[in-house]
Amino acid sequence: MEDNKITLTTSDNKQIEVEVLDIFNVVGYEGKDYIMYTLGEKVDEDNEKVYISILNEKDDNTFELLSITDEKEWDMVEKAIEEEITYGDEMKDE
Amino acid sequence: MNNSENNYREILENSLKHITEEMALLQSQSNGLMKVITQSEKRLEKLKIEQKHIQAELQMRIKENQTIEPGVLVGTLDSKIENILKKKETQAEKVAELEELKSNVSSRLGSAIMNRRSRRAIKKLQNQQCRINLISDIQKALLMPKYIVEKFKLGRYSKKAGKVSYAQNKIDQINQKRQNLDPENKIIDSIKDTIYDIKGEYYANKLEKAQEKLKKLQTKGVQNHILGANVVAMTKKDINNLRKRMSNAKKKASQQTTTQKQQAPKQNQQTPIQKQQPTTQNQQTPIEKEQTPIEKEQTPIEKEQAPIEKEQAPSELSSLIIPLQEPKTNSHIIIPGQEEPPKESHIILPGEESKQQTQAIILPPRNENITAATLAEEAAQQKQTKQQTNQQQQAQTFTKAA
Repeated sequence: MEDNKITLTTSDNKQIEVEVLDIFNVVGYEGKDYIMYTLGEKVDEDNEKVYISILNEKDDNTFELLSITDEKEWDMVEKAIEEEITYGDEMKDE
Repeated sequence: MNNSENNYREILENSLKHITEEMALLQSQSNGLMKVITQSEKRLEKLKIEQKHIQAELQMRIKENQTIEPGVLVGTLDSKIENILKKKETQAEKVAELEELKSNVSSRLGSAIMNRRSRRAIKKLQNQQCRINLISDIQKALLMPKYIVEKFKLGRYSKKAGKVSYAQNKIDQINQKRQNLDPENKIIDSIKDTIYDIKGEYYANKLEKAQEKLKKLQTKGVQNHILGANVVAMTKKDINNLRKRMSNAKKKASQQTTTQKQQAPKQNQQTPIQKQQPTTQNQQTPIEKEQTPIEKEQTPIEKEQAPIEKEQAPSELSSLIIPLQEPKTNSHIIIPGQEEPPKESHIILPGEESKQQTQAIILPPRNENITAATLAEEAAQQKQTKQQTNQQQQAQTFTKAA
């Protein structure tokens, strides 16, 4: 598959293709992976919707994407995303 | 004051005077020497440039077999020399013949005649050579003005270029000295460099791991089930930056595939670490279970929804895609018209109060008999409630601002 795209399966076996923007870890939750992806949906002219889920590897052939329900965890995830974005800007400037 | 003190001060003053005079003398001498040094350095730079130019011209003439454009006089002299050279050739052949004949002659008279003839021929040859030399000298004298003019032009250019080169060398030397005398900045610069290197390595490793995970997700036969998601709004610029980063990391990873075979033993060592990750994830599930009692205290509905959410996996994402349904205020989405987010925040958050509410997108409990119509009704109801909460929040923020 090209262009960082993956296919997600809903529980009623519908297939959705999404573009993965990042897979990252968060301080304090090192055992978990978080995945950031988009469907290309626009919110307005300058902004688009981006989805974030916990990436849970069940076994070698199955992954689950779960929502983040804990507030503290969500705060840390937000911080991690901000860091990713600011580092990207720094590298661009360099 | 004592006389001894006066005398001592006099001695000091005399010594100071002598030292000052000597310093002035040495300073002027050193200035003079510096002038000589600078002049000779400038001259040296100028000569280096001249040398380069002349070498280049000579090599070019030799390589491309260039010929000078002769004037009328120089051209006639060239043709004269050509004629003399032809004659010289024939004369040289004659001399060789005569020498041969002389060796074959046995009688005294014969050898005397041959000697006289060969002497005359040799003299003729020498005269021809003299004429060639004379004509070449005349040619050089005629070409000299052209050469002198060219050299003058080159000299003027190379003098200026030499001065520039000398000044540049001085600047470089002074910069080098300044850097050597500036250890603090050196230390800070070296620390900065190491920090950047460490940062770079850290993020490079992160991207590598992200790429590995992505590969796994993309392999054929792997099932990726979507059970829930949180939504944020992000600027297109940031999304593009993240996209570029991932694609660059992918390119790097594909370049490394050629060396992967060599690194295969190392990869085998890495797989046990990856396999350990699911165990750590499993360890964390009890933490998640511990959190559910807290959620129970907050909202009983959430607890009921927790097991239901998994069943609702498809509808959560599909409900977000339904055009009728506006995004909730308790999820992190900009609604156009809301007040601007704080400075430099790429993740646009709702007001603080909304943080107290749950951040996951939670749907109401699912009825067994669900149709498209019921879904639309639900969506419309949710829309109304959201509008109401929006208005309330805006009113609160305005009061806060006031």
